[in-house]
Amino acid sequence: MPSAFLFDPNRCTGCQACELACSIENDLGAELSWREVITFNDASIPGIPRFHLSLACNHCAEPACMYSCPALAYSRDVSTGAILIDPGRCIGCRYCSWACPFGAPRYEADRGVMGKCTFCSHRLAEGLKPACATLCPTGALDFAVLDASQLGGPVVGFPRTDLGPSIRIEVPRRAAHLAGAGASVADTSAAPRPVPGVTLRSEWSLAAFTFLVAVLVAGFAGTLGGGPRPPAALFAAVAVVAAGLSFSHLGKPARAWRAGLNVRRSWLSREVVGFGAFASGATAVLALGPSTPATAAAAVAVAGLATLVSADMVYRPVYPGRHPLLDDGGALLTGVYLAGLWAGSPWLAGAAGLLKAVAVLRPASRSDSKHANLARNLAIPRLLLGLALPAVAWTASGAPLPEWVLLGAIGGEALGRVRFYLQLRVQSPARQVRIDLAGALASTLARPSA
Amino acid sequence: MSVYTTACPRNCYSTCGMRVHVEDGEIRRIEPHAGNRATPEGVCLKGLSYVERVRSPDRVLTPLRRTPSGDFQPVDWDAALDLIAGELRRLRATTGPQGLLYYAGSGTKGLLNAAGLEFWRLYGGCTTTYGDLCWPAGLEATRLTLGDNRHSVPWDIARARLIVMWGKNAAETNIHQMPFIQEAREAGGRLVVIDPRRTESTDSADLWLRPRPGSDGALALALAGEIIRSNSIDETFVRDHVNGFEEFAALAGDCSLDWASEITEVPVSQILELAGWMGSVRPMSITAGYGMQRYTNSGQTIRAILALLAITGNFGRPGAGWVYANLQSHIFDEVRDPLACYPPEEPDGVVRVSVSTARLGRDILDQAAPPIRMAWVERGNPVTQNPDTKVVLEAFRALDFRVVVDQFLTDTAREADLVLPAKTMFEQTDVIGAYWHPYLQLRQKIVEPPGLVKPETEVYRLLAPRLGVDLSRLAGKIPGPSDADVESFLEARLAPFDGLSIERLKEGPALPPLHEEIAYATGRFSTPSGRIELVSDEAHERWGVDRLPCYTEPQESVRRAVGRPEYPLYLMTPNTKNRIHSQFGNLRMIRRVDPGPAVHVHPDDARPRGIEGKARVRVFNDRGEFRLPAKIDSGLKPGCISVTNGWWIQEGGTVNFCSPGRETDMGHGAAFHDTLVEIETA
Repeated sequence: MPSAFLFDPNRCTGCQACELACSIENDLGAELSWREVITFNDASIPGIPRFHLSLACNHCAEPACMYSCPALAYSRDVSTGAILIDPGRCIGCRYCSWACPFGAPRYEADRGVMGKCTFCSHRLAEGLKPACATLCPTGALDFAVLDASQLGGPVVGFPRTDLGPSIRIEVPRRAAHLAGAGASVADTSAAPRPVPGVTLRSEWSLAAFTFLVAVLVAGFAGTLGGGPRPPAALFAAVAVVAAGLSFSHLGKPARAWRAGLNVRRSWLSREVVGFGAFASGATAVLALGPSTPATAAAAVAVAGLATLVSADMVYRPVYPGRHPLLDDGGALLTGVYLAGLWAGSPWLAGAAGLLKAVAVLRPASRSDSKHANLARNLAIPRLLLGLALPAVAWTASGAPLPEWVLLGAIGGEALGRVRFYLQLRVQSPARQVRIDLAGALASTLARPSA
Repeated sequence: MSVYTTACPRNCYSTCGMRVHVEDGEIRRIEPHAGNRATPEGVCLKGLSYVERVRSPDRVLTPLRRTPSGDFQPVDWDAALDLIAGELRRLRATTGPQGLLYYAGSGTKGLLNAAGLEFWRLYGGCTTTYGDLCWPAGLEATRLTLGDNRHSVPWDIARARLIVMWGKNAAETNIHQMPFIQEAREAGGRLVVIDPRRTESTDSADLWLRPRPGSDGALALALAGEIIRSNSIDETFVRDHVNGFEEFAALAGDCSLDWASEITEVPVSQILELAGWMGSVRPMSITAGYGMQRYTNSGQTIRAILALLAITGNFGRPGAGWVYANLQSHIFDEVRDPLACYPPEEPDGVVRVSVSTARLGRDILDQAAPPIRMAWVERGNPVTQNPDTKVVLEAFRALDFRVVVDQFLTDTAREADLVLPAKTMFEQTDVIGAYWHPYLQLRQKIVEPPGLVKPETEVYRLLAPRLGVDLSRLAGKIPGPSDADVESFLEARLAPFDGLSIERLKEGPALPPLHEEIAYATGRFSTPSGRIELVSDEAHERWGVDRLPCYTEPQESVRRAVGRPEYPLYLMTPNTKNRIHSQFGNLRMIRRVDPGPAVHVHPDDARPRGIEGKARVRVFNDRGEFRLPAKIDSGLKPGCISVTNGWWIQEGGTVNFCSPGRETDMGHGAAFHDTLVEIETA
């Protein structure tokens, strides 16, 4: 039977002693806690109850963090069920923080690795409860060994998942006080604001890396399709720059080799291994020149496409739309499109370009990213440079396209990649609270006023 | 790792029992002490943050001398003590010893706090304050009505079927009361919260009333009138235990629902509903906060609320009663509060008790024969925490010399000529009582004071010979320097009480002798008549208020005929879970969880003034101003703004720039909340 946190929002006063208990017990310093109290209806909107959720890692039965970790830094403690990070194995890639809908793993910049709640395993080993559960002054947070059927408790603000979080939350029964005389029933100015998700500011190196990979795959595959052959040295140099960009994103670049250890489960490992195989294979093929066996060259191209598929799949947990493979800025679609241009293949470029154009022009999914405006403003230049310019040049003068048109298309596609990142968002309780509050607010406004 | 029993000595209801884990001379972990039945689950976040506070890099660890440029420079104790002694000798010879103001706040509980006044008597005398910033209006109203201030054990409220939390936000200020209240609710009890603000506590309530600030007395009288009209009183109890019922009933009978609704802005339907519950649901406990009794009509308000319990027979029974102040652990006081904080009827000529705490600044400036020329401040931060900050600053700055004893460079310490490093609760043993639960607890020495920190008792010992006071004269008044001296000094104080000793208290909290689990279970009240007194001649003679708890508007009220129309907003300055007044807010652990100072404004008040969230706002009246970011808060009552008190001037948010130096109607309390202001974008 799993160990679990028990939480009663009716007893929680939002005092945050649990956060401090965590900081102190785990020696995290004053600025960090692995537990966070989040408040539903922090603005006290009348007619909507206000309550808190005290959340940390839920040590899920199906731990998305552990499955996604490319470096095999996660493990499950069989006796307690605790999901633990080995800081000596973590490479600081932060991918687990995308995979976890509870915001549990957090990047600790000064250590360069992820940290999260350990269930206070060291206390469990002594027969004690976790510090947060021991020190809750109101008895709202507790810890027990429960039957799996006792877990759960769908609560507003708690992310809905099928990961099997080890937590039981009581149903909030707090009053939805309507204000007394003189107050507006629901003030829309207090409506929840969109939250920043994955931001370009934090992830620019990844955006650049994945885009360069798509360009490299396009260049190589396009060559096989009859396009001009890039010099091996230039190709290798760009590949090294791309790899360098991806390393620079890591908290522990020296451990970058670990990123390929979880091919079995992690799309990130597959991307890393795929890129390594493709980049080295493609460099060799280009260096060898026409003497390379065609099957070997084709295998390298397949490895490249597989890398692009993996690169897109990596973004699945943070992608708000149907599927990242279908996105205009997706790595695979971009790689195929640029390969078509490079190879001078109107049907390939045309098909991929058409898919992209449809994706750009389709009414945007209701993104709650605060960068939605910027993404909208980038759509026109992105369409003009990336898709219209090559199409016009092709229609006017046919293949091969002039270099400046190719460069313009690459620039346009880069904007497409930027737009891809602008829509990403990490699932988290704070975000879920905002979404659910917006829903509650809408139904309050729709209700006839009392 | 060693584990020590101790208790938190802050000015707080909970006064938690603690078990402190120490390793290599450092405090590692703080856990609740299960022997304290009132706080068994856990200490609050402030209690946990002591691990930082004790070793905070901001702590004052040496005496600090102010330089002409305004900075502070560390000096050794000899230099500090010689400087103080020189100033004190000069003062004694010229102005006279009463030219010294000894100001002691409520920063730390402990028997050894008495050392200060003992020392100043030996010095030749001093001037000191009367009254109290916190709770005396309610204490006095309770004393006049019930005879003294005590109540049932904190966990008894779990047996109530109706709990009225009146002007209190226990979820933030008395968090350990909430589990008992939840227990009552889970057993089918109801919780009513009366507060103009939507708080953590109102969100747990079955009924929430939000009266206009300062109008609670009118609400209480109308509730009483309705209970009497509907024949819901406990006739037997009233006949046996209540004096003045007829006169009170006549007064309450004149207080109609419409009258009260107009004054309080609470809908008639809600008053009726609550009156119905009060008349029919027993037992009822009323747990009242201290905010409501910081108005100029507060004593009368509390008397009217007490009458509700009296006429419904809610005393002396499990689950019933008045949960305001439980002084059963104050066994060492010859005279208990509130009488202990009044000026003596016959001054002794040595200690002049002539400065009202509520009017601190004005009264310092107004003292004559002799005037105040020097101040010694301990355990307090009067610059930000007493009313009318501007005048307090003016008074302090007009002095010749100021000594402030503190752990941190507070705004008061920054005004000092000399700052002396204060101990923390872990650095000297003492015995403390409480005012919510009944326990006596040991505040145990656990670590050595860091740096040059010395307990106040030691400072006085070192100062005495420099002032010509022979050390032998300190005997029995100020303990000797060693830990053993302190323990034997305290042991002597405990000796008269059966079952109390240092050894016993090292095990855990102890109940005082003659402790009453259910207060007034004997049916005897310690008033002159032995009964509950709804009519009080003493109230009239001592304080000049009506013999009955009549309702009058507070001094600053939007309903006063001669009002202050230019200042239309009530400034509410509640406490937060993150601080005890001005303590703890400087710690990084607390700052991480605190959103920072802000003025909460209702959208209806913000909109016409063009104030948007996060805009900087100037809060002002004719006494002063402060500027903070706005937070739009739909949970406030329109017409009220709210800023938690205790922000340092250094942080921009000292609310007392706007509060008046004015006493409450009784008890010499401070009418902080009688404050109207205006706000505008800054």
